[in-house]
Amino acid sequence: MTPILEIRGVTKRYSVRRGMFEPKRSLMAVAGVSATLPRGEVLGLVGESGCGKSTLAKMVLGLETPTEGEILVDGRPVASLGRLERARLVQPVFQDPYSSLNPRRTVAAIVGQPLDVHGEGTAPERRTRVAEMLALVGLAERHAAAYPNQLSGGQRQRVAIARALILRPSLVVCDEPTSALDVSVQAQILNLLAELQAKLGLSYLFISHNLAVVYLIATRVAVMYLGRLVEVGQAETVLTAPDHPYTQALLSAVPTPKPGRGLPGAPLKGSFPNPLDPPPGCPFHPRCPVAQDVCATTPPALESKQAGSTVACHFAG
Amino acid sequence: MAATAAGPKVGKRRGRVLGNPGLIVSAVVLGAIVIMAVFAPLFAPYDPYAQILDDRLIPPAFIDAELADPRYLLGTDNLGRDYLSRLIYGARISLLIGFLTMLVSGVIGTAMGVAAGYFGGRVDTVVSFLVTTRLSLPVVMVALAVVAIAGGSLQVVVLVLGLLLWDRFAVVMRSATMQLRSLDYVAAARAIGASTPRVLLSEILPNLVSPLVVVASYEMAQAILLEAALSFLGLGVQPPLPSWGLMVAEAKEFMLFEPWMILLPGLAICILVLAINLLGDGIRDATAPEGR
Repeated sequence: MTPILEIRGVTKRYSVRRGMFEPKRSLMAVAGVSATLPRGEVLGLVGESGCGKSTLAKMVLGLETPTEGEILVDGRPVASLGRLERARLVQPVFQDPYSSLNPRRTVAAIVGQPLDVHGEGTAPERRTRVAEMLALVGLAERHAAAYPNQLSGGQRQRVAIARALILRPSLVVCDEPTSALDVSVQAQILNLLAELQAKLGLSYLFISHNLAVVYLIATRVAVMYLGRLVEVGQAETVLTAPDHPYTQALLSAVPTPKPGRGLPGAPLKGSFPNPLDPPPGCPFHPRCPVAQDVCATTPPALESKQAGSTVACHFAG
Repeated sequence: MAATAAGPKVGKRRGRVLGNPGLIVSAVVLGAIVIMAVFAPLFAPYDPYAQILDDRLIPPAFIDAELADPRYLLGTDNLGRDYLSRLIYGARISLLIGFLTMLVSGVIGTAMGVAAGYFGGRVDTVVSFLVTTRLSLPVVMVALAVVAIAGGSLQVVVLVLGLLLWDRFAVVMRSATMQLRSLDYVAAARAIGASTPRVLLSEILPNLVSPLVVVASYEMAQAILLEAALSFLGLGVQPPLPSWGLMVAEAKEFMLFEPWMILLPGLAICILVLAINLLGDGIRDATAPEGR
């Protein structure tokens, strides 16, 4: 069976000019990322802000085109799909439900818009499908006539999920779907996403910087640093026995819910490097606790270290 | 839109309309002026062009009760034409020019601004250059020159002002569109397969209404003022059409002895412009979606 999502050596470069007389420089937002997502699974993509997670998501959605490499959804390259065809395969759920819904449309209009765009069904048929979809994401019938500003954050995110699913896509790109929500609501939305995944046989590309959330929902995890994947593997393996020093550092920075333990210490020195000026060799070496001379000169390749896991580090494990 | 909303929203919006005295007063004043202008033949007691040379320069009652004539509520001008009738017919010219100019400049400016804001890059560079070029032209000078060449008439004034006053539309729509473009619901619309025209018409434009109303009202008021100025200089609409600016111009010869002649059309212009601006502000406040 073809994997639902296949990312093949994708690179995205932006040219940036800081001032009128400065020369143009190229910013590598995503650098040679390859990953596959088998059908019916959830690939969790984790990393710090600015590491290229969202750029990768935009490319999967076809909102941006890769500079190099290609992305296959359901075995077909995204770049060559028409906008309608692409929309039927892959749909987004965005982070901020306050900006992802048009404030001038009712919930019914927002959820029904994809049917409108694709010219599916007659007006009464569309109404029925919208009502079914709202029920599926746990919204009441009366919400159909509401405007987004009359709903809570959780309800808005349910509307966004309904809009994404009404075309029955096989792949849903969730770009931090819970990080703008209250903690209690986060759990509800996560459960809803997990439930819908099982019920509709969906696959998710699930982007987050919250490791606990990823642990809960993802079957596979890819860790990203400065536009590169540093560790990919089964969620269980990567998040409990990580091999890459960056993944280890991320995990040790997760706050524990036990009272009296205090905040975890920051295990990394330095700060996230400027993507315009990436360090030579391994991009992580200036902050790495186990770095040696070779790290500053030779970038490590992704290599299999454990069963099913690949790690990009000279001294992993 | 409010009609389809759930109960509490309608109530809130009604509250926002009724709780804004500026909006109510300006709407009533503007409504009265528009009705008067549209049904001018019904409201005007006399033909605005009819000259009764025996009854020249009769002041209105509140200026000079002794010389006033009850047949002429606001007096007569130097050719014995009823001043009230001329003011009522003059409202037609002002509103017509204001509205048409706003329409012409609004279509040009909004199209340019939205295109520049949404597409960015080269389109933005070209539009910004055109805006800069336009801003470097003094409106009155260019209008004077063109009208001097093409001759003053209502059509020429509308066209000239319409082709000159689009800059604010373009600038405001450009920056508002740039803000909207980066919002997730625009990305979501593209992700569901919506075409670019569809995104522009159903996602961007409806959310531009608030700033558009404000700019449109301001530009309409501006056009009315400019028409008055051009007519005052003798380059706008031509006599005997009863334009308010023209009335001010005709009255200036008598300013020393009959100052009310210049005061009345001046006051009319002032009230109309004020009402339009207040209405624009009020509508913006009442239609902006909550929480934004």
